[in-house]
Amino acid sequence: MRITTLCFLLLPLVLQSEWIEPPTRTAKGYLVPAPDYVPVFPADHGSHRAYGIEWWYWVGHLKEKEGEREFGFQSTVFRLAGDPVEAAKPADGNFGTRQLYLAHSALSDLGEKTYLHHERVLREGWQAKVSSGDLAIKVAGIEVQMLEDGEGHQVFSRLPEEGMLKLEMHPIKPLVTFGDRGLSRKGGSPAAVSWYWTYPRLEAKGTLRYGGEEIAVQGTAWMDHEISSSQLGENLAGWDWTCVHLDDGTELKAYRLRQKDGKADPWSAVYWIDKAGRATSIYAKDFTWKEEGSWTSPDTGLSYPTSVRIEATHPTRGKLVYRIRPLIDNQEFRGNGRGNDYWEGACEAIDGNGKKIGNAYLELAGYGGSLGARLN
Amino acid sequence: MTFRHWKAKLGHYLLLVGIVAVGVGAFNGIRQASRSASANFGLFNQAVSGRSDFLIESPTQRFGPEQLSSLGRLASDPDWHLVPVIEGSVTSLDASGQPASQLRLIGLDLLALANLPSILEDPIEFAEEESTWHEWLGSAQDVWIGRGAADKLGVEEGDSVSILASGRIMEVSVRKVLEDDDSNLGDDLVLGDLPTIQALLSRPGEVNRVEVVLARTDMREDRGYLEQIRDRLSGDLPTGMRLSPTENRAADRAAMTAAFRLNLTILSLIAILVGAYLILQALDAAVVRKRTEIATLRSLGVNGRIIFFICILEAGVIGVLGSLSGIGVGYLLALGSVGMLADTVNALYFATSMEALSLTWTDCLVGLGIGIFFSLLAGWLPARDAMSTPPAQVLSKGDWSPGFDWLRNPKTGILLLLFGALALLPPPFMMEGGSKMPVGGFLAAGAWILGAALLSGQMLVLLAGWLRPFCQGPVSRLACSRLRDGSSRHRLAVAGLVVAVGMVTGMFQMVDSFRGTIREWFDVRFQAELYISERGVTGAGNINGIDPLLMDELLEDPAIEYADVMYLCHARPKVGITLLAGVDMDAWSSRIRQIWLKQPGSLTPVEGSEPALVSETFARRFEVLEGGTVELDTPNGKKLISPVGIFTDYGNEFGTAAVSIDSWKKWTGSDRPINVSLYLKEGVNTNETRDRLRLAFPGLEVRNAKELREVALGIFEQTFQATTALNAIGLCVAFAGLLLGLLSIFDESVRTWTTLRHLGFSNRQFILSAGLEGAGIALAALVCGALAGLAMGWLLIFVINVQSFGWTLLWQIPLFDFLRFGALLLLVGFVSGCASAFYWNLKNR
Amino acid sequence: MFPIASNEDPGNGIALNLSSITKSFGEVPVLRGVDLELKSGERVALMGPSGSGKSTLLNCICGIEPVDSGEVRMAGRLLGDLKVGDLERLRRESIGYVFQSFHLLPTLTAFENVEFPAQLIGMAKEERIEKVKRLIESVGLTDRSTHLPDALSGGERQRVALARALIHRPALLLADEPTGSLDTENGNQVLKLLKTLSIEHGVALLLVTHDHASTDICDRVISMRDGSLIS
Repeated sequence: MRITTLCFLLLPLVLQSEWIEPPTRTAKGYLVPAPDYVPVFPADHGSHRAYGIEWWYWVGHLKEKEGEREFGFQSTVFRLAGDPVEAAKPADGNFGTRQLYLAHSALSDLGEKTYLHHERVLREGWQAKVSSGDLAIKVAGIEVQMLEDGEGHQVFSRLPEEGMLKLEMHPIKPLVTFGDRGLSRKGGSPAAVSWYWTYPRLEAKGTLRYGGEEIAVQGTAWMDHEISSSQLGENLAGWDWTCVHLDDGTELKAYRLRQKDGKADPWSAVYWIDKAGRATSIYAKDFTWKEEGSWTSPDTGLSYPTSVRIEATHPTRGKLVYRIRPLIDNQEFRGNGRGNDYWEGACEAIDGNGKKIGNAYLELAGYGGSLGARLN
Repeated sequence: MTFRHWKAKLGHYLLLVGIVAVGVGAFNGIRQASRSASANFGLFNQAVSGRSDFLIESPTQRFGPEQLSSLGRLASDPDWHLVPVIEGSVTSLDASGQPASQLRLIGLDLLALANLPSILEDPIEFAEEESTWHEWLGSAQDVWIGRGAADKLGVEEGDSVSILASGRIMEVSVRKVLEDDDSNLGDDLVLGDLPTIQALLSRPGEVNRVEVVLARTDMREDRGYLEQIRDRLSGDLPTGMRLSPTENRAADRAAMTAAFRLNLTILSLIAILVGAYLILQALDAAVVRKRTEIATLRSLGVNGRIIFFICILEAGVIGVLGSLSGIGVGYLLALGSVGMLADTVNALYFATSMEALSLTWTDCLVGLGIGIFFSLLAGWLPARDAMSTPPAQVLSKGDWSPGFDWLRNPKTGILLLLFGALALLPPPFMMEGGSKMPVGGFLAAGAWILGAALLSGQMLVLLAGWLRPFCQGPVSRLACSRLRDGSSRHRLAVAGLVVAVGMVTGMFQMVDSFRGTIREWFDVRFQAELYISERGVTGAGNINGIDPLLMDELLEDPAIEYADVMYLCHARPKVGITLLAGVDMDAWSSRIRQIWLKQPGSLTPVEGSEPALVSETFARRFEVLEGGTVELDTPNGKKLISPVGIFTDYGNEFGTAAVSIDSWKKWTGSDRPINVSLYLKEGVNTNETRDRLRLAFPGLEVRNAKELREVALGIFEQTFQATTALNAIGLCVAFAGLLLGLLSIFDESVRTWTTLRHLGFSNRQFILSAGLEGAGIALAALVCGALAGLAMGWLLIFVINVQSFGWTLLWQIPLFDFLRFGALLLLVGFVSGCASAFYWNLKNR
Repeated sequence: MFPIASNEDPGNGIALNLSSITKSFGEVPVLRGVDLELKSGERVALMGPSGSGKSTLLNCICGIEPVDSGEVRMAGRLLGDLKVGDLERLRRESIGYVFQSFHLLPTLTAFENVEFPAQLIGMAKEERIEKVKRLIESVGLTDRSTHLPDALSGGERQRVALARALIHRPALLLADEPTGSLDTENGNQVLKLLKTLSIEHGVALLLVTHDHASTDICDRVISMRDGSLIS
């Protein structure tokens, strides 16, 4: 797996912006992802303890194997480092103080238009363990481990009311590292960079236990593994992010980094990933992100722009239009604490003529409060 | 007509209402206080983490790190939250380094609190808003306390507090004072992050229990849902752990203190019983006063039943008004006594912090019910008396007293005595939690006391007859003749006093027997030179244990010839709770003196079970006095123990089973000793060694045998504080009853006093005669009451104590106390007589 | 101090002297200027209808009720000058009282009832016992002397009361309707005894009655109406 992955690592073909050299450490003392780093797997699937923030993120669309029902799912494990000096040390007992984990799992029943979600916030210890040398995660109800073939991995997520989603995922395309020299930049601050490694398309197969029923499901998934110590520039309020599995076998990733004044940060980007897994990117000046519709949460009162129109100028293909439409309005993930709410949901992608061109997931973060301060 | 009397004698009726209020208040007050004092059954953390729905416990109430990790999978279910809790008792030190107050350290995973429904609903501000997650956790010494605790300790944010914990002196720093408007946080509660508290208690990796909080709080009352959850939890629970609903813990703790609280309740019933007697006297006096009026009504043709109804109604109104006031009085009494009760529970059983006293609807209903019931009961006799008042024409002929034939008939009294004896035959009633209620004993006590009360009239007449030859003067002859006449009112007066005297003298014996037994037990049992335990902590349920490293250090002292180290933890038999000790079995069987009920070796252990030395309480409780086996649940699975010897032990009422130290450690997975008794080498100075060890180990309590004895006896005395108080209340009420009874007697003898006045009987002679009459009543009550009291004493010691607590006590009759009490009683009787006569004279001049 | 020997006569032959006695209860006048003199050994009947003030007069005479105005003298001593203790002593030593309803002490036997006033004045035991026996004999109740009042008939009770009233040799015997609760035969018996014993003991008798037959034993009859005496 290691060698295969190494072979398939490809850098983006086009570098569009100036280079800002990141520091070795943030002001607080966490390590900053270095440029030109070549990840080694499976070790780099594991936790990077000395770095401030990390997440493992899976989303996808699933269909009932023998039936018509369709679902969207999200499983995410976040890691927040503690004291910069202590964080790098190994786990300390059942009630550690070095790392904090959040486990988010959600399921969207696209037929019934229902959405359920679940959060646990846990310190490293008896309920939260993440390996540093392998993909082995056990945080609250989310368990992830490599499969024996060394390629695929299993993601197991517990849902409320004895629900459960167990998926075996195999990458159909190789891992993609985003950004210039292996660093994905999220703003003008020098330290606002991350290692951003993605499996843009995975085949997902497994079982969903839901509503007292065991349902065999299959579909397509997207996995992000991002490591940073300063996830957002300090002047940024949040982001709008989408990943699209286009029907033509290619993928799209786009994000708008929102400044506090509402404008898009210059480091906002769009990536196209071709069938071979090669990524092409543009930055803010070459695309627009327009809000075409919004939804206000009756629970939190927050207003999310859940219908968007992305017009991007591909370096070779010209202007392309993608419209993202939510398949369920209420896919608001309400966290335990105030200010942790965001919208993350199964969507469809349609073209300028209204024709469906793929499945998408849309994430709208920072509408409840400034994420910039929290992720620095 | 009745209300006009009330208006005319407002003070008198207010007094009656007050008497009911005191009786109801005493009963309700004790109920509320003991509920509050032992209500918080160790789940102090719920003030912060909110109500839990289930508990996961190990039989020893300790989980090690591996056991907790084994719960990881169960913890990941989104339908519930698992909340591990560690707690321990420590003592704060004052400025001079002396133990000041006992504190409860509670350790919770403060970070995981964010997931809990109670916190989501009502967040607690643990730190300033802008802190990052690891910054607000603070340092390893940081703790949080409520406003009450801060005020009690005299500290604010940033201040340090020295504490004694597990034998060491530690420092904690107040990170923040949590503002607790609802006063949910006890004033002895110290909250910290779990690892912080583990370190402070020197219990690395350990927790006491894991609480289960449902994610869906809206389903808490749905039985079906709870069953489902319980099945799911039980299905995945690792071996060696047990799951129970939270109420069971409350029930367990309630069971632990059941005997104690039952005894208190019974005692408080005395107050209300004697109060009822007082009301009877007073209502009776009212009837006597209204005799002429009632007679007139009868002669006008008013039906006796109507008169009965009016009197009962009067009693009912007194009952209602008195009960309503009594509810308030009870609350005040509870406020005054809850601290004392909490101290007792703390000292004897387990750490408890007082829950804020609450007045529930049940309290109100119970108070009303009790007050009205006893008022009506007390009013029944006078109402019957009123109903049988003859018409005015008959009355005019002379002094008239109701017959009360049944008071003169000894049959009822004798029958009650027989009934009491029969009531002793059936075995005690098994209560939840494994303890036993000596129903027969209590019934016998009630029957014998009542029987003695009813027969006391006979005693009065008998005594007066014996004393008659000595009464030559006009005053003494008059008094003696009136006593010998044994009127119903005289008999009633004696009967009421007999109840109080019987109970008091019975309690004298029990307390004295207890004291004597414990002293003797001490003299035999505690032969070591020095005794070492955790400093500042009392109560079997507050066991932290001494840090094993500290103990190892201590045992290296060259002055020690032999150290009897003891390990102790809770253990679970099939029902309730008991104690499992780890001791040097050889030394216990030979070198260390005990009072043996059955010598070691006299019982053959059952094959396949662990030999054990058990306490008498244990043996009685589990019916292994002649050998057998008892199954105990331990973290290492179910274990069978079999007694090889039985020793007497007054340290607790749950029973103790002692096995070898190795077995104990293996079964419990712990190595924390609770105490050690040191036998020093020949020639070593005990007190010098004591002083030296105190300096070297400031966190440990080091006492010589004499000091230990004083502490133990101090705890013993504390136990009986409540008893003494209730006795005093009962006695005061009884004496007040005597006063009223005498007034009633005088009211009914108007003709006699008129005659005497005409005959030139002086005021002084009248008062003296009344005084002698009062003393005579008191004498009859003393004789009867003392006999009843002896019977009570026997019952308490040989039946009630044995069945409730499994203790054999040496029966001691405190003659000096008896005599002193007797003299006091006679004096009070005499003074009551004089006072009543004086007052009556004043009224009728 | 009052003399112990009650048959001494420091009153110069006058056992009782009432001058201008008035007494009211609240607004209601009960005695209006009563004058009466009783010589030693004299027997006087006081007659009048119910409510005429007879019983009140008796209570004023023995000091149980204080008078509003006027003087009560007994054997030369003014009652108004006496303190409470002295009045009690007066009653003990100088007055014998017979009630309409007997007023025996219910818990003492007949013997003990008669003995009681003698004990009160501190009479020596032997003398006392002797006197009681004689008096009981004189009222014909030797066989009944150990019975409690409950066991005696009305007539027997009144005879005991009479004996009790005389045991201490009072100067004055006050009898308030002594035959009021008795039948004719018993009543006559009691009256006869009253006369005999009062002569025998030299006691002045003031007999309150509304029965004319009772007046036969008296030397003088005085009427009372509305609080005033009419000779």
